[in-house]
Amino acid sequence: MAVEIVMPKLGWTAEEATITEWTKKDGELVQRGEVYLLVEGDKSVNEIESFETAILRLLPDGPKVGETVKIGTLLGYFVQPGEKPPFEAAQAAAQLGGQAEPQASPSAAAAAPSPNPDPYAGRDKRGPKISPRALRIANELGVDWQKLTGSGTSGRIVEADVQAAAAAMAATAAAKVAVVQAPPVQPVAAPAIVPAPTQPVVRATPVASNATRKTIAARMSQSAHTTAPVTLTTEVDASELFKLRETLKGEGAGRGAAQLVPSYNDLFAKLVALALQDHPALNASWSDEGVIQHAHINIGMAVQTERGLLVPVVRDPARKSLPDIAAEANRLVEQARNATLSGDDMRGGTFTITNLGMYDIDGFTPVINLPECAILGIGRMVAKVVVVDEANPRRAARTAIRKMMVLSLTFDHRVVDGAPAAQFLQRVKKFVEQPYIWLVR
Amino acid sequence: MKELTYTVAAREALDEEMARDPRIFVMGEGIGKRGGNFNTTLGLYEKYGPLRLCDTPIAERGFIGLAVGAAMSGSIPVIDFMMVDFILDAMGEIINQMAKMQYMSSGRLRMPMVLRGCIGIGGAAATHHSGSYYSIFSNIPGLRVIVPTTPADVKGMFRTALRGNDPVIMLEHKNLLSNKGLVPDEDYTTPFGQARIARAGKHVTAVGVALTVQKCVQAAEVLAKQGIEVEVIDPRSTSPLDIATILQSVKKTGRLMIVDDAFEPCGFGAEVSAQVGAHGFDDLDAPIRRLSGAFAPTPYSPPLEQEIVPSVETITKALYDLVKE
Repeated sequence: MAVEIVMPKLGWTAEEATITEWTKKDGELVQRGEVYLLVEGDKSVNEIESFETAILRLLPDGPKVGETVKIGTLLGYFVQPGEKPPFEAAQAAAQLGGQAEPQASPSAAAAAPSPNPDPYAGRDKRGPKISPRALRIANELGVDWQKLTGSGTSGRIVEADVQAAAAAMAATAAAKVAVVQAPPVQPVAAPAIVPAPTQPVVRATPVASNATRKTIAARMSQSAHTTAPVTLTTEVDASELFKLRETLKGEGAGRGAAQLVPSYNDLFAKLVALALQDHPALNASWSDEGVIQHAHINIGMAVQTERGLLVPVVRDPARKSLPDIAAEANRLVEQARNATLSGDDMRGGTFTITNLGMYDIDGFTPVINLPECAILGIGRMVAKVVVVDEANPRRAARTAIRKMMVLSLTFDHRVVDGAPAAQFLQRVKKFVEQPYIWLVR
Repeated sequence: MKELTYTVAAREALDEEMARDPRIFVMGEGIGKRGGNFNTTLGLYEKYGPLRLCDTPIAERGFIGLAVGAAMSGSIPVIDFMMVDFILDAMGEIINQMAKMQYMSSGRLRMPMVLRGCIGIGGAAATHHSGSYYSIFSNIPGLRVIVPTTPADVKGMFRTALRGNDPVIMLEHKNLLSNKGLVPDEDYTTPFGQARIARAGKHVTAVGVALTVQKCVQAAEVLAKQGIEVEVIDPRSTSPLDIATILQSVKKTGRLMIVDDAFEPCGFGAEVSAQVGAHGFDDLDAPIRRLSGAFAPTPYSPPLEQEIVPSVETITKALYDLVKE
């Protein structure tokens, strides 16, 4: 029986998705578990696998590659050998009916013109052979390998052929860009008159937006339009945290590359998760029924990639050791950067941290990552002269050089009020200034 | 560091461990006063006496059974087989008792013992003295199968075997015995299940076992002159097998050849190939190839004997063809 292929729902909030590529062709036999379709939506490209061994038949007038369609849109059918998809069955029936030949024999029916009489015909037309590695790299680099010829003795297309084609593509693209950007010839004006300089016409060129950019745009404006954001900032003394990390660095160096030294983000993921345990009001979401307080604490980490901002999620850092968090975060960031992050790795966050310290930013107003209710912005760590021991009755106030840092907490005032949010930030401040409090938990 | 031959390095490990641990004793044919046919125990009889260097009659099944009992009751026997072919006479004791007893006793009994012997085709030894049976033993859970290739490795791995609790089969290729190499002076051990990259490269991965590691390195030197960089991997133990290092190499090179003197069907190469096919499929730029010894009893004739195993020339050609494929 023909089984419908519809655009799958890739995430909780997904409403539409883009067809990136059909990895199987119309009429081709797809084995159970084989990937036949790549779909981009919710910031990642997903591979869609077949549940059955069947023949792929695409809707002739269905959505094309690159088109963005609503979830559930019919794309084609899976049929069994010898079976016609509904769109052809109807056509064939119409032809038979029109042929006013009641004794039409099965052979005559088989001879009736049909776009694809032999469902296995596609297998012979599969074209050139390609190695699994070359196929993977062709997909990664967007090279149409069907047009390539294998250079090896076996005739198989290998990685070198795909790399060469990719290099040729890049060279052509660069040449095109060079032509477009050739500066216009400036008319030479007579020096006596001073004319307004001829401005080259600069037109705003639309930068090709990928699905990731569109998702970011949609989610950012949704956050800006629906939340009641308030940002609190406080300056913290991160000297102890600095000392802690320097100690770990020294320890890690002794153990070689196998031992990852937790980054500041990893330390923050852990200490923020522990602070959220003490202040669950910030680990919550707004829904139509009211505030939902989450039982689990998962920390999203904002990562800048070539495709745009991604927020992979570290699961339950409160209960994980720092080396485990470092390993998990390292994997997530790596996958985010080379675009192999799965949708699941970006879902389920309950709080996000974002760090602009490396760009010399102190305080900022981060945008809440819905459906979460708060986000912590981490500023740069910078040495400053500060007054210490001012409140210590047993010691005289003095000045010292300390590693200072600004923390910016944006929270959604619909979900939580100013005082509890400030108390949470105070807790985070304390954890940064006295890390041993949470390290012994 | 000092330069030692493979045999001397292994003997040093045995000597030092026997001095350290009085539970260790050696059994075998001609390993007492005679010092072993391959000098494996030369000089030890004078040092440790007839009780700890125990000559046996030609009765493999009997003395392996005896050693299994000794290991279960607190000793650490080392059985020296000279030629590993004759270990086969005791297969029942090895597979049914030695390998299984720790499991059958829920870990209450330990089985610290080492069976060692020579493997490999070479020296016109004919078919009863030319076997390499690591594939057979690697098929049995409960056994550790090690195939060290350098003097440093044989010393370190023999130590690991003598300090562990599991039965270990240590296979020494007879054409490696007189090889010299630098051996560290300190008290070091070499872990099982950790491959050694014998030569780094980027165009093709060659996995050898025992003597073929050395042949692959020689082939790699030839190919390097033509700009082909071969990465040669020495698994060092076939059980446990360090497939991760092989996969990592294939990720880099995209091409894999397993070179093995032993028989091909159901062999070591088949295992590596299947695992790389399963876990490294998308890294492969060409089919996995195997180059193995002929599937035949080993001939006595020296020219024929050399003909049936991979040589540096045939390995060089096979690797070249694989890179060009």
